[in-house]
Amino acid sequence: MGSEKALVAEGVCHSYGKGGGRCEVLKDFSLTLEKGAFMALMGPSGSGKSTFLHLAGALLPPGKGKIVVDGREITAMGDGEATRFRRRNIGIVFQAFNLVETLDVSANISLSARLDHKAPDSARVALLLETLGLSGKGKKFPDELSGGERQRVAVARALYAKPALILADEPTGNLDVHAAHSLCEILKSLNGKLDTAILLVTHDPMVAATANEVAFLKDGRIAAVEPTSHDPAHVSRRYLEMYNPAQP
Amino acid sequence: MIPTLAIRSLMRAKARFLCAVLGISMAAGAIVFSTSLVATNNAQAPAMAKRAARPWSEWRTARRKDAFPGAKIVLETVDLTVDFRPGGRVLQGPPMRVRLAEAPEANPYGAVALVEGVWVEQDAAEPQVVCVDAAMRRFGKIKPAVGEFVKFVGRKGTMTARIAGYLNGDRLPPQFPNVFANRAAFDALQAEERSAIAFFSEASGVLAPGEIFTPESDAVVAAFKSDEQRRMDYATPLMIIAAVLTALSLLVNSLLLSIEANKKTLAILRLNGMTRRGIVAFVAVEAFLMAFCGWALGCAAGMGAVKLFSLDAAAFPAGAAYDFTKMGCTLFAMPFVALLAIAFSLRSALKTRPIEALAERVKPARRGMAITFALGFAAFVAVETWGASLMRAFVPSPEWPDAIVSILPAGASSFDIEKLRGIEGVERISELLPLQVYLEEAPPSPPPEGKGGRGGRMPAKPNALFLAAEWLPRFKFAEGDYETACAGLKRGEIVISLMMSRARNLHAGDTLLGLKIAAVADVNWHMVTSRALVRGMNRMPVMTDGPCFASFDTVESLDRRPAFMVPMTHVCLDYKKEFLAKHGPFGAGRLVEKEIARRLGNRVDSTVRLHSRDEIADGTLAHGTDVIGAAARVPFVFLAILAIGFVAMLVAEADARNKEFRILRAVGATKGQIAWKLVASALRTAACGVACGVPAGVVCGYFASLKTAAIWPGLPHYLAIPWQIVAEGAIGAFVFALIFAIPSALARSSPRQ
Repeated sequence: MGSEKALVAEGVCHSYGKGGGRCEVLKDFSLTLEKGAFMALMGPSGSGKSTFLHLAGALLPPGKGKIVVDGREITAMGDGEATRFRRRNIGIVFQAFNLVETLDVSANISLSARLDHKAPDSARVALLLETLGLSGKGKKFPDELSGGERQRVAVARALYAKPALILADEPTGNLDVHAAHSLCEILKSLNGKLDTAILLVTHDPMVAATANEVAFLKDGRIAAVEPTSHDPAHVSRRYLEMYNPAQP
Repeated sequence: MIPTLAIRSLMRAKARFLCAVLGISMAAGAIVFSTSLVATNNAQAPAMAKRAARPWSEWRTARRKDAFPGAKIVLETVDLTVDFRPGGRVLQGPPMRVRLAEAPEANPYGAVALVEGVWVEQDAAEPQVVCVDAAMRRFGKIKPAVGEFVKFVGRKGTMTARIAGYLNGDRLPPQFPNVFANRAAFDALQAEERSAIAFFSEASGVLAPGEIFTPESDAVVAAFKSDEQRRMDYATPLMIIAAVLTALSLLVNSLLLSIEANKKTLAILRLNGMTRRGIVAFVAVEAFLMAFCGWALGCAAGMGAVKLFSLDAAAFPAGAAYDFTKMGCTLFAMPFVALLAIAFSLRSALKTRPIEALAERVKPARRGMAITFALGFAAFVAVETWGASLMRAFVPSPEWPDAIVSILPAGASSFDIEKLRGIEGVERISELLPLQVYLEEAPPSPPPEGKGGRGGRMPAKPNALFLAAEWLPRFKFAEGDYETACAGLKRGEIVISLMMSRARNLHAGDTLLGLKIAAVADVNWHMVTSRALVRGMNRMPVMTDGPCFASFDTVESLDRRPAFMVPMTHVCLDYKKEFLAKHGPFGAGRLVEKEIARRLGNRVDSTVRLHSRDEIADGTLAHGTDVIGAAARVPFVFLAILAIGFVAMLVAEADARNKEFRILRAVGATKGQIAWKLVASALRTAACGVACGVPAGVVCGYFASLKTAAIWPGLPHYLAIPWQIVAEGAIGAFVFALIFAIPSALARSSPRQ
């Protein structure tokens, strides 16, 4: 099922806690991601970036609002339907990698196929291994890989099912500078080759500059969406202007 | 993929897997072993019957010795009881009954050989006997020594003979004599009623009176079947419940630990698109795998244990036998247990959202640990409560007189009660006048030869046992009260037992044999009246619905004989408190018994025997273990299983808190301080488990005892909780678990890791 828009969020509200301790992190949040777009989502800690990512990945139901991914409204789905949709149409990359320790690299990559009770496509696995610089590592287990390699396996897993949307939540958070840079280049390259939209949550201007656009989250909603020009300095300056206006 | 993940998860957590499998296997094995052991014992019956009957192919009984021409051997027999008092102690428990025969020239048995002493001297002036070993043993250990004199008690008198030797038999075929007497001993029993037994070495083809017995007869084979079968049948429903509970507790324990340990993996799978069904499948694979492995191991171990047990060809000529029916039941129970365990353990796993699961730190499943401890402990408490509640009905009411003294068979004169007053240590003493009466409306039959007519003509009919004494004990009353009862007795009314009230639907105000019922007493009376042979005298059946208390005048009016013809066969007494405190029940009993015998002239035609109400306090065995049998040992199996499970839980908790403990050690906490944290946590868990397990176990055990007690209709129902055993069990399991778990936990908390 195709759509011009990979992700459409309209009037999304979400809060945590109960009673007097209730905290509203997203207030009337709206965002659109075109097919094949590469957008970074920035904001200070606790601003709701990861929360929106989880909502977009059908991992949490919103309090209010609507989220449509690849033409399907995920907020109207039950848990089972949303899970199956996520399996086939959304790829998620986490800061902590979140690989299955008891499966080898190839099995981790083809996880969605196994969950769909299908035989893994070994050619696709091999392609992804090669694309992500993991050739020859198919039989290794996660604890035999470096942090950068593990994160690349997570990216390969996210790409396996050819999803319409990839959500990356601080993917470089646990990587050293070199590995982080390498991962960013990979994401940029993949975005150029594939028709998959990428929404990348980060607070790092260098990582955000990898994307084509950056959305700034403020007071629970999108304050601005701007091109990054792939310039970390520009992104950094705009970040400071957005969240620390008193700074020169 | 899910089965692969589940299997790998189990292989990575071998200790948890092994604990669960071991626990389940012990539960399954306990059932397989117990039931197959009974089957094995019973399978030996035909071979053992044949062996025990050697060299005889057939035997018959009759009233007269000359009824069997063509028999190889014909012996006259007399049925007696043995008054054996090791160390002067009257043995409590069922009477020792023997069948004494005039001795042939040599041992007539093949398999039963003379192993101690010598055969009797036929012409000796001194009465001598040779006895079959098992007939003279009480509680498997004690028997009169060769050369010792033993008194045998009949219906007409007594005979004292010296033990010349012992035959080595255990169980003999029905009707076989188990004591052989020389002429002097047999002649001393002239007044006793005799029967005859004839032995044939091949099929007799003789048309003669008497039942035919062969080694293959159903009655003979049945006599060689184990009493344990009956006891096991009583206990089987509860044992199955307890085994299921215990296996369930181990399985739930393991699954909860597994879910906690694999929470992150399951969360990742959920994030990547695995539905809740996948979690169910993961847990189900683990559950069924552990349940099946445990069951298979348990069955194999149980069968192997039975096989080992029955290797002795002499004791088990037919080899091992297995109860495949009950084994099949365990196979059906196994998936049921697995499904229950899955249901118990999945709830929290399914509720947790995957993203929350990723964020959570792994914490020990304390609630699950408490549940599994509760389930396992409940199994132990259930079996103990079952046993105690069942036995409570057999323990005589404390209001019953402290002792009943039998003066049998001849009794003494009723006037002799006056000679027994004022005995040191005795608060009060009274003749206890028993009279058993048949209850159907029937014309009286002619009295048996030599006896007063006590009514009844069909021995199989139910009867009432009337008891008269100078005072009515202060029983608890189900209807009426003590004052009403005493007033009623004075008016010629009677007080019946609650058991009779239930069995016959009789209540205060109704009549029995034309006598008005003044009150209904809630009294346990079984052991006391049977041990003292109050019931079953004068050929009346032993079974009765309970005593009916009445005045002397009332009982004498029911008896057909004039009062002066009725001998005093029993007295009842209460001790003085200080006398009992000083000497204890055994010592007090021996002193009083000796004094009574002396005051009655140390008669030779009767034997004076004092029977304590409190058998257990007296130090002798009670009837209880005969009913419960091997089931009394089973709870400890479940306790061991519980302890194993608790070890696994504690080790798992240590694993979950590993990082915390390592940091504490690095900062400076000692091993003792870490150990105390674990102990405190274990104490909390165990306390919760005990608090839940005890009521659950008590309820299960009590209802199981009601089901078992239904075998004896009218038996009072009690709830008896053996608190001391329960406390000891809880402490024992807890300490055992700590001993094994703490060192392992501390080893994992090294700050260097």
